[in-house]
Amino acid sequence: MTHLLEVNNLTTQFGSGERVEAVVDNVSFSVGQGETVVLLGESGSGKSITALSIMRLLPQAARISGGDILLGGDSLFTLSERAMRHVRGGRIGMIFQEPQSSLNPVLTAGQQIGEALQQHKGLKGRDQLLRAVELMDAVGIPEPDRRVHEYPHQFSGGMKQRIMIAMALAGEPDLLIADEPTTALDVTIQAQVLELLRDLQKKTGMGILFITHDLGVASVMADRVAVMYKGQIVEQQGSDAFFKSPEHEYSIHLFNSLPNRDKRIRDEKTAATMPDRSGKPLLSVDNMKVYYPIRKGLFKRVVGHVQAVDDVSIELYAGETVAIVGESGSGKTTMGKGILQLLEVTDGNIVFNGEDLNRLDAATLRKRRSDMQIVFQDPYSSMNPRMMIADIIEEGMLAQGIGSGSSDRQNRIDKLLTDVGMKPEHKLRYPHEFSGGQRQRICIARALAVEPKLVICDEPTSALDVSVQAQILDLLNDLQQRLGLAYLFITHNIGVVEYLAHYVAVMYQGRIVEQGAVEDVLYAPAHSYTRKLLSAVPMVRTGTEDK
Amino acid sequence: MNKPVYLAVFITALWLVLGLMAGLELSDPDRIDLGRILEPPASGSLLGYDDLGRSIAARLVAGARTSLVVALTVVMISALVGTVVGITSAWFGGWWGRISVMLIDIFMAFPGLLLAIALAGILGPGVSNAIIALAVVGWVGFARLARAQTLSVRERDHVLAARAMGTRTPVILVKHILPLILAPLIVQATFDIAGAVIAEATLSFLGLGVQPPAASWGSMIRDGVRYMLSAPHMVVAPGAAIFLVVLSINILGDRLRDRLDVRMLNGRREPAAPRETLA
Amino acid sequence: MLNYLVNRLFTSIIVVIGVCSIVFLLIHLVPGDPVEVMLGESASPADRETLRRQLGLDQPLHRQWLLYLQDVARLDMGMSIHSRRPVTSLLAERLPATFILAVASIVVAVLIAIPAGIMAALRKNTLYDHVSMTVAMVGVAIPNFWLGPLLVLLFSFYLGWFPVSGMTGPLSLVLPAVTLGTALAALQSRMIRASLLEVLGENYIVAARARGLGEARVVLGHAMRNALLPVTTVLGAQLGALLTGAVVTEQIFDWPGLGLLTIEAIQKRDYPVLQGCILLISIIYVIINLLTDLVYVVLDPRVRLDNE
Repeated sequence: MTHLLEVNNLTTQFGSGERVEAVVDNVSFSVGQGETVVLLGESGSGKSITALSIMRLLPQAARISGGDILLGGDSLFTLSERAMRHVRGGRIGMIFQEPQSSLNPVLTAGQQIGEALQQHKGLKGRDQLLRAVELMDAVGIPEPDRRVHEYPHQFSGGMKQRIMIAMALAGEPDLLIADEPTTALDVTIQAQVLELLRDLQKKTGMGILFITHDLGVASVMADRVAVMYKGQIVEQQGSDAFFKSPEHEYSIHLFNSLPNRDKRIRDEKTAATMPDRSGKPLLSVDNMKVYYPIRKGLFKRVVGHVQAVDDVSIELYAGETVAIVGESGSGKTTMGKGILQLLEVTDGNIVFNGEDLNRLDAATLRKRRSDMQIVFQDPYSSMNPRMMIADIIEEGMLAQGIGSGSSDRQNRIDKLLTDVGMKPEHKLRYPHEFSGGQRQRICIARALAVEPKLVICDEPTSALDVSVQAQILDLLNDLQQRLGLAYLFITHNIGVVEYLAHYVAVMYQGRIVEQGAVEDVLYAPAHSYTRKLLSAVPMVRTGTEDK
Repeated sequence: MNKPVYLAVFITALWLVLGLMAGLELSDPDRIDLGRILEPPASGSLLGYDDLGRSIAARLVAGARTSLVVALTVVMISALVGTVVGITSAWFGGWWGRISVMLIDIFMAFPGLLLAIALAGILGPGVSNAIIALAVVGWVGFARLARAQTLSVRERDHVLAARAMGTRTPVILVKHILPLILAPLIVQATFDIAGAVIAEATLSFLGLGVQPPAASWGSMIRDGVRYMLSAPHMVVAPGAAIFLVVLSINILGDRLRDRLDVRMLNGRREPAAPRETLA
Repeated sequence: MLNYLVNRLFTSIIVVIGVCSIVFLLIHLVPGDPVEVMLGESASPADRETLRRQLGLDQPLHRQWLLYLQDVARLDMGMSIHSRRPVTSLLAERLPATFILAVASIVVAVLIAIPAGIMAALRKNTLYDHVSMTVAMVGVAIPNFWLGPLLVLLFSFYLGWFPVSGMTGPLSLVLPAVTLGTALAALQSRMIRASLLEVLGENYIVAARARGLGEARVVLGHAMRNALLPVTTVLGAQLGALLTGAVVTEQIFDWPGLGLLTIEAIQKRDYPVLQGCILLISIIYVIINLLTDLVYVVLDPRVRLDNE
């Protein structure tokens, strides 16, 4: 039987001359009618370049050096550029990771969908508009007759991705290439977009080449899975078989890296036993509020407030991890920075070690900062690129007067680097010489340099690949056991909560809607939002504990 | 592609060396030789003589010193004042932030050199007045750039991390903000040196710069225009000097911008969509 | 959008008041006694006293400032010391010449810059690109007061095509307009090229190609409009530079505009006229900036439809 799409021995290279690198290396797979093939891999595995090779839209530095791609039996590589334009958007539609930047900001949704309709269906004027409205309706955009005239910035992230889908469908393609289409979206929105794609596939019978790094999303979408690693497809299986028994060691490694309850039990980490909660809490937040004024008009009068954090209370005891979980804009990061007095707290008591941080004078607060530290999400912007690692780690010690002299501090730096799994000689380098995971280790070392009791971890693994994430989480666990640290762990990832946290608070629109022990909240959610959030998380169907 | 850059380096170096050397008085720019009035370039005299019989080559060298002194002093003062105003304006905000933004907006409201022309006209001609007039106009560009850059760098996590460790504000400004905004400021300073060379020449051309008999490339053109038809070399030589120096510095600035990976457009206003307002 | 406009207008008004204040202060920066400087040492004490009173210099500083603002608001900028005529009418007489010169040079600049910039971006790294960008680089570096005399030498003295100076008909406009427009054309073409190249690297350009759109549609329909946005924001500042360039250019060509009036005022120490010129040119510049911001708002729906 002929497949809809056949990729045979595709090789795509970057660079030229001596410095050629095959980013896609002898890759073969196929997609059938009505089938969804998931191309699964971590960043840099070559999966996006594979998609762009199919579309013949590679960046200038790249070129296809071997293999063939057949669409319905015809080779795409022999087509003229003009004929290829009929394929793009006509027979193959494509959607991208960032709907925000993939839409032209100065054209309306209708104009952009209309372009594709004119190009591939020859529709003009009123017919074009009607069909655009129809398409927007089909992808689940409410009030399409009105919104067809709106500009991209007037739509939310999920709606923008729906517009991208409508555009991709305008030419009624046989194949849809979806390149990480939900990675930039919140998990509840992701669930809706994935469902939409499955529905549309049922109606139109199109094939889908779905690119993702997320095992959960793969599990929900795939008929077949192809795992990419360093430019090669290392394993290809039917979905059921893959999730039951992945074969390649890299695939197994991916499964083992996935943070969840199984991994927590398997790794016998601290979180498996609940800590002692008698005595006084290390941190107790009562009715904390962070409001931002909304100013309007000529004299910037305050006409209302954005309630970024609204009446939030939590407790944190020494040696335990409390997770704050929520989607973007829920106020969880604001809350973390507010606790550390890195932004102005409107109201509430933040009692740390018996003192209300909200009422300390600047000098005292500066001294107390050695007890509480923060690790950020983006390992690229969280270190000063002009400073050496040694200076970065030493800075806090200098500010807090830790260490008896320069040589003592250098010794401490060496030990800290060793503690986080780096080498002492790394201290003479600069941040840009390290990978994201290594940078995050250095950031942890920097936080530990002032010997804190509490570390606020603000999505510390969200920017990292799943295998690197596993290592960092592992490190955090180790450090907690050894040093008795308390973590306030801010995350959107339920799996991380399951793996690492003792207690969890669920945030939604600036409020904590539910909190309690992890087992209680995750397995018996009481609040409707928590249930909605949990049901939206794509679950990997079968674990690997039996292997 | 590299040849123009070498040439630019050479011409800029020549400008610097000649500017410094003029102080050594190797040739007298004021010596009058009545027998050679308006004499065109010939084998004996490289660039000819002006309407008073002074050597144009010697006056070019003297002019190099004027433009060098004025340009470097103006840019140094402007960069220092502008950067301090811009960084503190962005970091501290509050009433100082509002007042500084208002000042920046008001000074930006005078187009280009106009205020400098007026100031130089009022203060009277002379090198120091020209420097004052140009610096009064020049600091704004740096202040605006430093402020915009600081506003964006301030949001980086590494600054927040420094605050979280209890690092003091002056240390944060000097170690965590300044090094990150230095690259665009250096690029701006480079282009501003070229701008200041033209600005000084403009003031001198309008009779508002150095006073005779002191030489400036601008005043040499001013003097030469009257003898355009009979002695075009009086205009060609100093103009070519300004043009070559400005072109070279601009080429170096372009190269520096690419090397430092500074993204900005040639204008003085950053391309941010809505401009912030002071109200 | 209304909010933005009201705010912008309000800011401009404060800026204009600030500009008036600085222009007001100018006369106090005159070294020595401004009255003596203006009238010369030979003037009689009675004449000095009259002028001092006329200029309000006998009042305390804050009172002088308020009076000045009041007068400006009533479009009264005092009398010229030299010609004894109201400054306002002198300005009104000179404004049209500068306006014509400015518009002509903008036309020259736009006609050159837009096609040259677009072509250079689309043919990046070809011979055309290198040549046109080298020419632009040269155009930026040539000072007006050199280019002007050279053009006169070539086209007026040697070829005799255009008049040497003065405002004597359409032909006399050509050389001043080219002199003034060259730098703007060079700057704009470089900016358009850079901006277009940047936009062509955006994700939505890849997305547009992925929809099968042709190259013309991608460039003209998607890239150009976005590329022109940053060009618009600096246009105001560049037109400001153009106004200053006009001072020099009018001097070279003896073009009877505001620039020439400015220099004449400086030479004759006619400070009320100088103040009037600076004030008028600056206010025109503020208005230009306001207008370019409006153009930006119209071009960019993100600002236009911002209803917070």
